[in-house]
Order: sequence, then structure tokens, then C-alpha cells
Amino acid sequence: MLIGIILLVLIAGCSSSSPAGKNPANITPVPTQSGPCMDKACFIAAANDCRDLNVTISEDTGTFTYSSSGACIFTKTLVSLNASESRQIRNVLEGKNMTCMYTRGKFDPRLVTSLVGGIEYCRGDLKDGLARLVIFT
Amino acid sequence: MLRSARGFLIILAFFIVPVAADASASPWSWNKYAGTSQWDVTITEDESYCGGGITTNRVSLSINHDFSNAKMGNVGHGEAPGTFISNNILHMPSRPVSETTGSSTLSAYDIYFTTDCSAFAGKYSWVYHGEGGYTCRGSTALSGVNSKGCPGVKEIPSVAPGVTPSVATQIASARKDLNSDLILRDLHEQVGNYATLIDRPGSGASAGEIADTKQLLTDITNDIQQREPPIEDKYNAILSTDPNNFWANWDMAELKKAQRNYPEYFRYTEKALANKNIAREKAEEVRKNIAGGLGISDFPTTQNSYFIKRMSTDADAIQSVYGIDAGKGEPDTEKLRIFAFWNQPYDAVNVVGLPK
Repeated sequence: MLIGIILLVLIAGCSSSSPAGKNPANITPVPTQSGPCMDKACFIAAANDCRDLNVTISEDTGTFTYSSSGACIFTKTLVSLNASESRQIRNVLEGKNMTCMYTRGKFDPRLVTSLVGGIEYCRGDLKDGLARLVIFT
Repeated sequence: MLRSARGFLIILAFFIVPVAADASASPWSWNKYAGTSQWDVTITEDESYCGGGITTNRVSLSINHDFSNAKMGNVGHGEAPGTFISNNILHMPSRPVSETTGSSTLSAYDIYFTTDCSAFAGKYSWVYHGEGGYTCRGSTALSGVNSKGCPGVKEIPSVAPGVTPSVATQIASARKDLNSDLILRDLHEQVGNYATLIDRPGSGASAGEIADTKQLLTDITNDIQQREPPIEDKYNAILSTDPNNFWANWDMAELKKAQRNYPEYFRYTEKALANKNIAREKAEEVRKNIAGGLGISDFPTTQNSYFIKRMSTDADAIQSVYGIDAGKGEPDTEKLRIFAFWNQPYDAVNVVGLPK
């Protein structure tokens, strides 16, 4: 749900004609699809085609939401880490996201299959957190 | 968008302002000072994803120092307490703030001060929570200048006429220019992304807004193109006499990364990391700084964190970064190498500090 809202805001922010600032009235809803396409392989194919899609997947490290949009924008949100992770690491990463712009047909699948692969072209708190933590690997 | 363009011209003017000459033989440490410092601060707020745009404002700001603790005056989100995690890096923790309607959550971030006390820079992101579940995100960048130099320290000319400056002084001077450039590069990327988003069918942006944004991007590009050759000249002058210098090679690598010249980025990084003793020492410093900044008392490891273990596995499996075969680094320096892969050039440059 949260990522859907963020995606709507992301797109709507681009359609703003004047800098009003934090004004919900400027936001134009954009439909977000969800359906039977709920695994990584299906999501990667949809993202590569720049289709609107949100998928939330529980993995061994935690729960992630992957979103793609018609504007070829990918967003990855780390919803929650496993409870066994320390509070400090959870504070750094949980609820954070990163956004990556790409060209249709050139989506990097590592953004979905890996924790760090392909993030060099992304921006956001999740990328910043991962980039810092990698010194401890 | 015109407002953004005007704001950006102010930023350009700010970066062109000459700052005080590099001063003392022993660099200043803000974490050893108690008192008040005064700054002229340029605030660049990006509300592109919140129905707004990129705006710039300038304010006078006080920072109250109490050795390792400091409280920064209001830059739009109220007074902010922070802690110095090294001599000249002030860490500001994440915190919630109330807005006119709703609230925002500010990210943790670091403010980097130059050792001659002439400038600082930092940037945080925020998430705004409005009515009816409305949420959006943005960022606030801060660039401060202080023409008075370090408190209680007489300004000393950096180099007497006819005397060759030390390598450390040369690097400090080049680093100062590089920091300004890298902040500009980051803004260039943000404006470029914004231009890409609005310049597509169905974006709803007016032709005027698109044109203004593209013009803004051109202006930034032109400024960068004027700014970078002298910076490279400074680093090349250092490398001509000290070709293996860790800091000069590291900084040049990050400049090349910012320029998206990735083969050169890798080349300079490898030259920097060939200084194995310094690289090992810097990796340890970075670990301490990152842990301190994140409020982590015990270092996470592949043994005590499954997430770190998975990151390690994934990082080891990486074959290409920036479209280039990343290869494998030396065991001693590999972590610092991959740390630099994904950190923003500004952060990667400043996290290694300056030579003593």
C-alpha cells in the first residue's frame, strides 16, 4: 500500500506544473496493477516491459516490495527484516526504499535477485543504507 | 520552475564565492571546540515528488558547539542536535518534525566540515506524512560558508610566495573545490532525472516547464564543465610528483565516477588501493565512522547478522559494476573497494578524510 502511494506521488510529482510543495491537491491518481504476477521472474519480465506492477515477496532476509511503472521507474522497498536482525540494522533499512530509472528492455534483474547488484544507478535511503553497511561484509 | 532556475543561479553564485585559503599546519577539529559558529547557509529543497519543485533559500545560521555535541539552528525543520563522529563530521540522527499540516520524518545524515572552517555541506532526505494517508518524499541539501575562519585561530596564508605547498595542503585545496563540484554533480543528476520524468507523453508538464528544466540542466552542465578542468589540474599536479598518492588517486576516482567515466574510475581506485597500509587503515576508520553514525555499538558481521552474510555473498558474486567487469580486489582492501562502488562520490571522498 505504502509503495503504491509513493509511486502515485512520484508520477504525480512529475506532472506538477508549479512548485506548490507538499500539496496533495496536485496529485493525480495513477492506476496500479496487481494480479497473479506475484513472483520474481514474472515481476522482472513486467519491469523490463515497463508495466505498472507492485509485488510484495517474503524472502530469507526479509520482506520486500518491488514496483515498476509505465515510466520505467523501479522502486524497491525493504518492508521488514527478519526479527533476528539487530534493532540498529532494522532502523537503518526497514521502511526504506530506492528508485531506479532505466530504459525499456534493459531492466537489470539483479535489482530483484540480489541485495546489491545493479544498485549503482539507483537513489534513495535504501541504497544509501546498503552502501554503508557493505563495509561490514 | 523559473523559481528553481533562479534558485539555482544563487547556488552557482555560492559555489563561485572564493573561500578562505587553507590555513594551518594542524587541521581544525570541530569536536574539540565549545562555543558558537556563524554560517551563511544555502538550503536547496527538492519537493519534486511532493507536487513542488527544487527551491533554494539562504539563511544565517548559528551552530552551538559543546565539544562532541552540537546543536544546529533552524534550517526549516527546527533546531537539530547532533554528535561529532569524527573531528569534522557531525552526525544528525533521524527525527520526526511537525509540519503546518501533518508531519515529516527526517533521515539521519552527516555534515562534513572543511578543516579550514570555511565551509560545510550535508544533505538529508525526508518523508512527508499528510492528511488522508498522503505520503511523499524529498530532500534538503545544506551548504554553509564562514568567512571568519576557525574560531580563535588567525588566518595563516596557505603558502608563502615562491614556496611549494605541501602535498597535504594541495590535497586539502583540491578537495575543497571537489566537494563543491560533487554537490553540483548530485544536483545535476536530480534535475536530469526530473527532466526525464516530465519530458514524456502524459507527464502533464507544460512546454514552458520542460524548457525551463532543460535550460537549468544546460546551465548546470556548463558550470560543471568550467569547474572540473582546474580541479583535475590540481590533482594531476599532485600526481605528477607523487603518482601513488592515496588521496589524490581516491579523489580522482570519485570525480571520474561522478563524470560516469567508469574505466578511469576503476583505474584510479586501483592506484589508490595499491597503498595497502593506508587502505587498511581507512577501511577500519570507515567501519568505525559508519558504526558510530548508525548508532551501532557492536560491528555487524557475517557471523552475527544473516542480512550482512547475504550482502557479503551477493557482493562477492558481483561480476560487473557500472557495466564494467569489476574483477576482484586484494583481500586486505576489497571491502573499501566495494564500499566505494555504491556510495555517492561526495560521501566516498569525505569518508576517507585528508592526509595529516
